[in-house]
Amino acid sequence: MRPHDWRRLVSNPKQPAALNRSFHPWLEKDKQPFIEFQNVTKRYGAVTAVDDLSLKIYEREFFALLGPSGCGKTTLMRMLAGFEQVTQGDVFLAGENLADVPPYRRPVNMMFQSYALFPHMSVEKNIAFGLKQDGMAKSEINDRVADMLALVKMEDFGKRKPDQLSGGQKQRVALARSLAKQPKLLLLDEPLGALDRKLREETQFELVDLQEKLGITFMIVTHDQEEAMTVADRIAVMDHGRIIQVDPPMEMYERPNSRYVADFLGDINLIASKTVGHAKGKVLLQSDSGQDLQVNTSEEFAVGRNVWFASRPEKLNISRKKPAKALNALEGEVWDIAYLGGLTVYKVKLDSGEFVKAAVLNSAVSGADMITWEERVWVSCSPQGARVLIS
Amino acid sequence: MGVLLPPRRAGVDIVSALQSIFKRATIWLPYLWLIVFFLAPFLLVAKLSVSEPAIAQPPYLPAMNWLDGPIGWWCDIKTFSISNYTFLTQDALYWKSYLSSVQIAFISTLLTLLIGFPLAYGMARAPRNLRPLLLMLVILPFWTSFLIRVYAWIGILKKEGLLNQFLIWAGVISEPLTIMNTNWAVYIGIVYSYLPFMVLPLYANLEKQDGTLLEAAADLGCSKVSAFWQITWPLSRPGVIAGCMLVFIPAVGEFVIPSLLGGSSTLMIGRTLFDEFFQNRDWPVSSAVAIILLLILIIPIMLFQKSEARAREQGA
Repeated sequence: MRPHDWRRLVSNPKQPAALNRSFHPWLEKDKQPFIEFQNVTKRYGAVTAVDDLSLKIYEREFFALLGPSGCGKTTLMRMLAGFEQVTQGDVFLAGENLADVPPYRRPVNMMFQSYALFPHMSVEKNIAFGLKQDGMAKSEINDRVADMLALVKMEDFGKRKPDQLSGGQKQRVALARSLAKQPKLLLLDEPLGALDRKLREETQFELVDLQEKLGITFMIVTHDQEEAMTVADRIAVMDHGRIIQVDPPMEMYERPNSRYVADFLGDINLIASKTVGHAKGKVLLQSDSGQDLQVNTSEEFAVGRNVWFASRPEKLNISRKKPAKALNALEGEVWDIAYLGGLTVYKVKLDSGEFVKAAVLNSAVSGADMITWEERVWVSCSPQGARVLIS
Repeated sequence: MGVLLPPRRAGVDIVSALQSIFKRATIWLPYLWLIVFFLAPFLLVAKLSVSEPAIAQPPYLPAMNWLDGPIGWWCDIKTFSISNYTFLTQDALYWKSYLSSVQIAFISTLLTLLIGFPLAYGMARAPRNLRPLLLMLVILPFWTSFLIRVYAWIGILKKEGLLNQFLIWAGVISEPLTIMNTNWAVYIGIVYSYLPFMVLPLYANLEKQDGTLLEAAADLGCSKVSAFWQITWPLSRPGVIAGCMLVFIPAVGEFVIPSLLGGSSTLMIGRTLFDEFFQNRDWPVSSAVAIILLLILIIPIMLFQKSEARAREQGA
């Protein structure tokens, strides 16, 4: 299927989503990036919003920029749309330097956080707006608008004004409008921020489907880590105008490169430690409270270095008795319990005074035998389930 | 047994009764205001307009006597004279005055919009911290008397006035222009005096327009100029209509500006009415003139309200 064969797409909405499985263009050598930021800096007066940032994004990728508010992710996206000028560095799109291309000449469309639907135009006119600017023939515009309305399942709402739509419907119209011109790149600025949780989750999957069907490169800005992990092929975690890590969601979650990323994406237990040596495929650590720890890794660390033993709550086991093969086992007292339905999270105060969280899957119906407050427990973690973080 | 009711207390009843009286009063107060200050004077003028003129004090024969009682009123109504209205159709002065007033008001409104829109647009796009100051400057002229400000224009526009002196000094013209006592002076006076009434509603509208709409337009391939005409202008329609009504309606009945700045050939209904009332002392005819003027003005007011209602429906 050609990337922009809209009619077929609408008539045959269940296209195989097979593209994705072995889609790793960032691993291919000599692959031409579709978007490239080269040492881009953006300053507003004394404030540096984007700091000497380089990034490559490949065609057909669903790329997520993730970070707290003010980290520069929106600025980065607005540079692609052309609403922000680059202070230093270059931005390339399909090999073309974007420096002197005004927003209305870029093959890029954006879906705005506030949707920015034109309030005085009907849904149809909103979707047709971009096509009209290109001087497309009227009959062709009508066909395309009908296709787009079908694509977002809004066929019955063409004549409505934006004020007569619900939040979810507005979101769909905004998406249809931004896709109508068949852009090479679609930018999504917190596209689901205004929707309630249930609708947001549904729409996330729809977005992924849509992106796979259309074969357009999508770039999404979000502060919601679950959203980023659901939709994206790769995520870039940003902080203070810099990219901290770029990786696929699983990679990022399992092998975060820093405490910042580990903490931003999910929950993490950190125990300050020092390296004491290496065994084969392992690093031996000693926590600051004197506990021996070990982590499976092929990385090498200088002995005596300050590092952090890091482990996700769901990778910790909790038991009343000391586990038999007691590697990385720490004793403590249950401080707090959060029952979340599917999971129970125990907050344990270790004897060293540190707190760790252990998440236990509630696979059996809970009974009287559950570990409860102020019980003495052992928390353990296999060497495979932990990471050594150096920053 | 049964349902337990709280004991009735007299004080509670009085308070709730008072509350309902106040509630009703807040609804009726505006109506009372309209009845006392709009409907009653209107009826007085209407009654006057169907009276016969007379050389008396006041200079008319009352068409109706409140003491006659209902039957007497009916007899009075039968004697109402429409001769004052027919008189207005016989003398060309009146319809020419109406027409010329509407024409002058229309052109002035257009000129005010032409000047006011860029002004309001610039204010709405100015840095946020500068806007209150700019707004102040627009309102500032209200701090001096309207009459004095119109008088001041005589000094500017007359033959040896500031404008001519400046233009001759700058070498733009060699002979002084005759602006004073022409319709041009009236246009200038109206545009100057009513500009704030145009700028304020426009500014209020433009300032609250969502800037991301223009970004969205640019994103969809629309140049800046084109985005203005396709987004900003249609969205500012309620502001434009409000501004135009606020200028047009008082400008039609304007009296001071044509009297001070206009020439003998400047025909405006406000002046005609003044002359009829004070020079000819024909109160019934001048009342008829006022009633017709009101009818002419009510049409644009109704149009205005209709468009407002429509805008509200759209939530724009």
